[in-house]
Parts: sequence; structure tokens; C-alpha cells
Amino acid sequence: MTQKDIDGLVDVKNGFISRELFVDADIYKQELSKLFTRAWLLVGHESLVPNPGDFYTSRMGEESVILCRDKKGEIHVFLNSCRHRGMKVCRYEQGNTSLFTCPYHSWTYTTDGKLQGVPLYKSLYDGVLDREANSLVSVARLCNYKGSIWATWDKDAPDFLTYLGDAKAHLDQALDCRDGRDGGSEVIGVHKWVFPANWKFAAENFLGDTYHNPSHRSVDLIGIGPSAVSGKKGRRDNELEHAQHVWISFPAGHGVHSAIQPEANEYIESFLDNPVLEQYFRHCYEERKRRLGDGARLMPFVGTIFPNTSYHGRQPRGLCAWHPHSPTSTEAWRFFLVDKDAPSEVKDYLRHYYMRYSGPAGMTEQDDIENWLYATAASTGTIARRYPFNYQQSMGAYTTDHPLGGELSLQVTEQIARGFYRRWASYMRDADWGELLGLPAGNREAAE
Amino acid sequence: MINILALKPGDRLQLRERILAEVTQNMEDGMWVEVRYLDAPNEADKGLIELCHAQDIVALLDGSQPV
Ligand code: FES
Ligand SMILES: [Fe+2]
Repeated sequence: MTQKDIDGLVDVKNGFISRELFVDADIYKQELSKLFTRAWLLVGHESLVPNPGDFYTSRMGEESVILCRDKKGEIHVFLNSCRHRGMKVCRYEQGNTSLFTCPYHSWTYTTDGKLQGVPLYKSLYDGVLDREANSLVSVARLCNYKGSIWATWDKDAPDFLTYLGDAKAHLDQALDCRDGRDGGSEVIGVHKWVFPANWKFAAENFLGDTYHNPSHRSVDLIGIGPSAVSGKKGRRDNELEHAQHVWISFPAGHGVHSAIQPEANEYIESFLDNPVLEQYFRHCYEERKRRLGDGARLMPFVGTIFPNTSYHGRQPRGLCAWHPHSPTSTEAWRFFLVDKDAPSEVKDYLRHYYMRYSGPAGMTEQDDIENWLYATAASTGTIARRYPFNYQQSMGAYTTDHPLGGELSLQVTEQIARGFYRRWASYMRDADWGELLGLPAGNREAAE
Repeated sequence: MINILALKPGDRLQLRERILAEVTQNMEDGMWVEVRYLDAPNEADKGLIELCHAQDIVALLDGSQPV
């Protein structure tokens, strides 16, 4: 894509993004080849493959991949496609195996990806076929970050923590134990469903589009949160009632909406509908304060790790992958997270609350999806495509010298979305990793 | 037609290319068993642990249970 093409589509300086980004087949194809082959993508979680031989099929972009733990306990991610004629070597969602045997001609691969068996190897291949060279295609880089598994196809990609940059402190809030210990989360369920909208609608929504709050008004009025029966309406408890909300655009394209608790940082009653949970979360809150000190004041809300991974930090809590299916359809995966060592009553309560909130039957998620799919349908028309979307909210209302880093705003802002599309444009013109990370020179080049 | 699911460790097999082998493990995927080469035209192959596909099996040898 030439600079001119991109300038016509993404104008962050004036706050316009072409609708073509959300409906055009050619742009979509280029995203698959230029963006999804380079960026770090969420593949799954280690708790989905706890034992040697466990596997979980996932996706990277449109392509099927196998997340598996080999005999020695090491985690791998492979393209789910046989090296012979490309058949899917694993057609199950999850399970345990010692071999992945291709259903077509029976080539068989071990759980560390090696081509181990070839039928009639001695008779038809003279016993000399290079099995090593015909292993399953592995991702170029893999990272197990606090249990969440990430991968990239680009061997030149920076390590995952460099890629995360200052967004790390916020993603941590979703992955760390509620009492402040590092990591320790487990997936208690995964929801998967397909919705008819471009993947970027979802990614952008979780960057910190707080502006769409009114679309959840009906849910808020009914009250689906963990204290709703006790009289606190809303879709969640307002644990951040006294906090300073912040919206941050990070240079690599990630964006978060987090909050900073006041210095006093007192626990605000939540989970009032169940005394076991109320006690558990109160205890965790105090423990976290004790462990992290002033650092405990940072609390998560939502965020998107560029390009298509989002998280909910507290109520509910989980990771989302927005897998592209076509320009106008996306497969959503929600990995619901709990502390691995939480009491089972806590886990079970949270599981039900998460489903009430999120997923295909979740009350809040349905509101979001309805918006994305009608916006998609109304943007595919010939006339509609001539008119770009407006991204002019809170232009220039951010600071770049806050200790949390990035471009930080104290008001609801589309600066995060502008930052996301600024980086999207870098990928589309095959920029080097300096620019993709938004390092100073790269930022200047792509400056607004 | 050999029902590979019924093979047990210790079963002896005549394979193609004049290889004699013994089953060491049946993963029960219905396609593959793990074998040890007891005898083979190529001296270096003797003792090898290899996967063996159903199509490579010519016959199940004496002493092994019928399949
Ligand atoms: S396609 Fe897999 S063995 Fe032929
Ligand atoms: Fe929403």
C-alpha cells in the first residue's frame, strides 16, 4: 500500500478514518499479510494445556494453529496444516495426544512438531525423506507471559515485553492474582462465537471507548452486577467510584482505560450478593495494598493490546481475541479468568457473572455486538463508503509526561483510537520495527 | 487387513522391505504403532525404535494374538 493510499484512508491529524478499513476485501487481505504475520497475537493460556500431550486449537489471523504441550512439558504453537498436502492435522478443539496424525495420508507428527512417521517410508521414499525439514511449521517467537500464550510469525519481532512497552502494567492487572501476587490466573471457560462485523470494531471498543456507555443503559438500569440484588444497580460494582480515570494511547498501538485510586485507597464494598465473595475480594484488596504499596492504586478497566487482543480487568475479568474471518465477520473468543487458587465457590460465582455480562448471551456484550454489526451493515453501501468515520473527540487533550507513559488523557478520548490507526497505517506500509513500536524516530515519521 | 488397534506390546510383525519388528507401544490411534526393528537388511537399522504405519505391516507373526 503506498503512502498516498494510506493517507486517503487514515487521517489521524484531522480525525477521519475511511469506512473502507471496515468493509473492503483488499484492505482486509493486506491486513492478514502485513499485520497478522508480524504483530504478537494472543493464542491461549497455559491452563488450557496443563499436562504433557494436551493441545488446544487456536487461531492466528485466519489460520488455525495448535497450542500444545510436548512430552517434556514445553509449550509450542504450530500451524495446523500438514506439510504433505496441507490437511488439517488436528480437527479437535482440545484434547490429549501423543501424535498428530494427518487424516489424509497419515503422516504423523509428535507433540514437539517433528514429522515422526511417514507411511511406506522405506518403500516409497527410500527411507531418506528429510523428516526434520518437514516438521509442522512453528511460530517464529513464542512467549508465556504470566500464563497467557502469545506468538508471532515474524522472527525479527522484538520480544513480547518490548512489544507491550508501558501497557504491561495494565495487562498485568488482568493477569495477576487479585491479592497482588504475580500471575496465577486460570481460564475457567472459553466462549467462541462469530459476529458480522469487522474485527477492528471490537478491538477499538476495548481500547477505551468509554463514550459508548449509553448503549448499555438498559443493562445498567436492570442491574446485572454482583451487588444488584442488594440494590446496587449497574452492570458491575463501581469499585472505582473515587478513582481518577485515565485513558492512555501507547506508541505501539495499544490502548487502555485504567484508573488511579486516591491516596487513601479504601476498599469499596462489592460482591454484596454473596458474603463468601465479598470476604474474598475484601481480603484480596487489603493483601494487594500490603504487597504493592502505592502501586496498588493503579486499577484496570479495559484495554486492547494491538492488534486484536483485549482484556477486562476486574468485573468481569478475562482476555478476548478478535479473530478475523472476513472483512465483515469476526470470531470472538473470550477467555474467562479467575485466580487459580480461589475457593471453588468464588470461581463458580464469577463464572456465572461473566456469562451474564459477556459472551454471546451476555447482556452487555449483546449491546456492543448489536452496535458493531449494524454499523458494519450500514457502512458497506456505495454511498456510505464515501463518508469517513469521525474521530475528532478530545483532539490534543493529552499529556506525554505522565509516569504511566504514552499519551495520557484525563477525559474520555478518541486519541487512543487515533493512536491505534496511526500504528495500523505503519504496518500497512511495511514499516520497520522501530516505527511499529513507535520509537521516537518512527513516531516522528508517522506524526499527526 | 490387520486391525492395528488390537496390537499389543510384544507382538511381532513382518514389515515391508524385509524388516522384522516387535511392537513396543500402541497409541491406539488406529494408524500407527511404535516398534523396535529386530532384523533388517540394513545392519544400522537393527534395534531402531520407529513408528510403523498399518500399510507397512505385511503380517502378524507366530505367538501373537490373532487380529
Ligand atoms: S496431507 Fe497430510 S499426509 Fe498427505
Ligand atoms: Fe460496551
